[in-house]
Amino acid sequence: MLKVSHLERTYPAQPGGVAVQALKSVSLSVEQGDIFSLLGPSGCGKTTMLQCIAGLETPDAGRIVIGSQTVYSRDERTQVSASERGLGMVFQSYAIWPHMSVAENVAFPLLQRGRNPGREQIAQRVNDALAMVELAGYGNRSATQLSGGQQQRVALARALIHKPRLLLLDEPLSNLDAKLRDTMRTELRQLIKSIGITAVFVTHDQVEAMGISDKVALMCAGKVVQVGTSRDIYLNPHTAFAADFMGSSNLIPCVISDMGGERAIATTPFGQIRARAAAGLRSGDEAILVIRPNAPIVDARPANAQDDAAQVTGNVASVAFLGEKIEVQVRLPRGCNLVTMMNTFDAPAEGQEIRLTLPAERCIIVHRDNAAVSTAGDVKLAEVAA
Amino acid sequence: MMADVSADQPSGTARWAFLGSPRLIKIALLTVVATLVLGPVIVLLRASLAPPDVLPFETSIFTLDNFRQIFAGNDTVNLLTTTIAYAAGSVLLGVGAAALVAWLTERTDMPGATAIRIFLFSWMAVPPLVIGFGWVLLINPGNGALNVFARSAFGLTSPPFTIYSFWSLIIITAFSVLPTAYVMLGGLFSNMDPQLESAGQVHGGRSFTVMRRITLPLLIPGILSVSIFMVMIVVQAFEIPFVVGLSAQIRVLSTRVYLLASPTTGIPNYGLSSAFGVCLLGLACLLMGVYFRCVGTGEKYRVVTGKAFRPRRQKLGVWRVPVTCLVFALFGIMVLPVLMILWTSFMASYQVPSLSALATLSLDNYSRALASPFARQAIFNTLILVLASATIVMLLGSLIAWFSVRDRGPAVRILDILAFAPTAIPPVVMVIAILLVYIRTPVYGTIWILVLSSVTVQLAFATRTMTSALTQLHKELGDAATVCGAGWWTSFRRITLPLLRVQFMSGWLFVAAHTSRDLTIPLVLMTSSNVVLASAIWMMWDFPDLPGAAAMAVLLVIGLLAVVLPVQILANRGRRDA
Repeated sequence: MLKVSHLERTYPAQPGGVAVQALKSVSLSVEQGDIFSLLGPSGCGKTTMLQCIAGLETPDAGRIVIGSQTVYSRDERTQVSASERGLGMVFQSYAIWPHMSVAENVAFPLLQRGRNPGREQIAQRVNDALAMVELAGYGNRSATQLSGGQQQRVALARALIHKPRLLLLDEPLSNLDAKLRDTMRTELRQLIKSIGITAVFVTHDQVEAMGISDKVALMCAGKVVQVGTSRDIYLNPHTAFAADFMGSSNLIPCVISDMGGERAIATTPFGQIRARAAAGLRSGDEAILVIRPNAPIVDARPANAQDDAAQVTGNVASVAFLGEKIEVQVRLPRGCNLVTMMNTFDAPAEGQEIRLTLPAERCIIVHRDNAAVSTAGDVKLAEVAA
Repeated sequence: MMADVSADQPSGTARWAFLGSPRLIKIALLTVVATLVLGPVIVLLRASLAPPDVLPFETSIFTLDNFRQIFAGNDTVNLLTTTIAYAAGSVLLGVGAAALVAWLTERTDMPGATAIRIFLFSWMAVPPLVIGFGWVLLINPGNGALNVFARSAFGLTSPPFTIYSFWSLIIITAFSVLPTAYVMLGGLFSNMDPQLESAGQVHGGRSFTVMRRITLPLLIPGILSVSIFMVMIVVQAFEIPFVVGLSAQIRVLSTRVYLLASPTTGIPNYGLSSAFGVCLLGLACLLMGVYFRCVGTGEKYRVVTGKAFRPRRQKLGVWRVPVTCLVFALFGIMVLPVLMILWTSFMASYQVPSLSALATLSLDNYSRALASPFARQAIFNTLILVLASATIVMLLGSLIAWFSVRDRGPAVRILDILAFAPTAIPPVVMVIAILLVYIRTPVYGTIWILVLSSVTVQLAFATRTMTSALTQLHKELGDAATVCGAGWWTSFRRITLPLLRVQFMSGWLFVAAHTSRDLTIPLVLMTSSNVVLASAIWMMWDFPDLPGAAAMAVLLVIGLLAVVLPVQILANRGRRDA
């Protein structure tokens, strides 16, 4: 449905600044009917990407194909303007026009570019669209009288009324409060799925991305780092950045010693751990061992080490109470810290000795990031190394 | 719902769509603005290098004679020192008074602050021409009303006041500087974060110390930049020096430029006039440079917006009543000349206000004025001039603003600079340059050349107003229309302009008021067929038909106040609600 290949965009240097390379040869492919998320920290290029697809931003190189139409191609010197791409878009600020009523806002796309389906048709379709977003009867209200959530629904109705071939959503949930965000996320997914439209969704929130999308493209510093279902990226991250951005994790620098089939042995400061290895890693590589906080099986008493699991012993350094679960910092030998989640009712005492069983299936060795990646990861690495 | 996708997809490009492409509009804008602004400037430079007595198109000779003549004698040095002393003196008085009044209305508990604010905002609309005439009637040494009163009251033999002195000119100009300076300073005073002062007090400063060490230093840059701006305005100003200064033989650069181009006797010397114009332009550019150095280039588009603070108000205590009386007395003096004009407009022939003359009040002048085809023509022309130029310049300004905010590129930089340039070009110089450009074309002599000149002169203001308005408008509002399928024009017409309608309307009003009260443009370009109210008043005054001129002046002032006053009252209500 949507194919982006080798897209590049560099913002020219502002006076007193340097040029910013927002997109570095990015390629993507979105299937018909999928909800596709562009996920990444701020400044990773995800919004630039969306703007290029919408036609609000002109790339420097590459190619964008929507359906069967090439809307941008550097080589063929094709560029379809934003108003002729026939898309729907929900903006971060909603961009509801305050000088128009709700119905006028929603009807706007029906009246553009020579189309005028007639008064009755318009009224009918506006009503349908408003009913679809559960705002039936709000048509005559002024757009300024709406709450944030309602404005967002109006924006959605406006983006869908002309039956666009592709729906673009630019962080549509970020201006809502936390509770509303969760409900809207579910509703949004149900709505998009019921219409069957293809959607591209930009967000910096991994929970949002995991909850709403069929596929996620994880972006970092102008590049797509990994594409896949959220489950796939969570369970099989390729890099430390992917592991850290999708969910949280303990990132432990290690050296790969023994590669055999899917399993490898990681030599860490606190011992040798058997784990799965990401593709492309070889024996002797310096890499990162990813242990999700919910991966270790915690046991206060010694247990028999099983075949495919390592066991480490440490002391509880601190316990943080988070409601349904607790976060336990475990001090391992050689000054390493490991964060693990535990059931609130199993809280250990501080200083208590604790045994962690690490099944090889739950541990994964990934590539180290190059210098450009997320600082959060670097900090963790530094902590662990210290 | 996906089934009928194809039905709704855009079906080919409309035939004239290319006309709406932003690139084409940008090129058209650049051409229009360059013609408006650069054309006159180039012709002015050419004329200043041409021999006297010929039009710049009719010669191929380049000569520095005009400049040689200017810098030959002491005359020019005198002219420059007079101009600077005049500007500095009136700005010192005017801005000083304005700062005091601004502090009183914004930062103290003086009563009547809202009334003062409305009065000063509206008073900006009163034509300087009318105020100048009013002062002539009030304090001319022969039969000025104040002089007559003073003589009979105190038994003086010689008149205590005279309009024909340098000081009178400065004081009258200071009164006209006051409202504008107040408007600029008021925002500065009320938008100052009171926490800065509170911090001073909490850390042990007493009221007076806080004021001296914190409030004043914080305000100094603002007051200074307003002062420089006002010096720029006064150096460029033409009407008051023309009405008041000429009889007093006080010549400043702006009147000199005019007199050389339109002498009362003899033939116009466009060469010398242009050369003086170039000098005045240089002086204005210099002041502009100082102004920007002072406020920083980044503040070019800054308007007083930002967070609305509720500033701490100083209690005046025992000073409250005397200070209030003093301020209202000041405004009494400001209103006096207009009252004098009002009085004269009811007289069959001019006479000093007195109880005995009350019986002779009549509306004859008004019926006479409204009956004459001359006056009707003037009113009709004024309406065309005001409606056309305000609408055109605001639309032009909005378009330029859109490109300068949303589309940055080298072409837009040039557009930006060109649109801003008229600020530095004194209107009198600009108009003479426009005269030189169009004198041989059919446009000359019609009302449309006045429209063209007003558009050029007001372009910078319109662009600045709309630019600052547009920067506050979220970009996504326009993007949303584009993604919905709206072309550039539709998006501009249906989304951008309606969202900026408040700023557009207030800018429109400002331009309309300034265009209708302005004498410079109509006077320089005057022919028998394009007389407007301002030039009609001047002609009748010069004729002389003082009561007739007064009646026309009153009509103009009433017309202006009728538009401006309600808007100011509404704006003030909005301000209080906010």
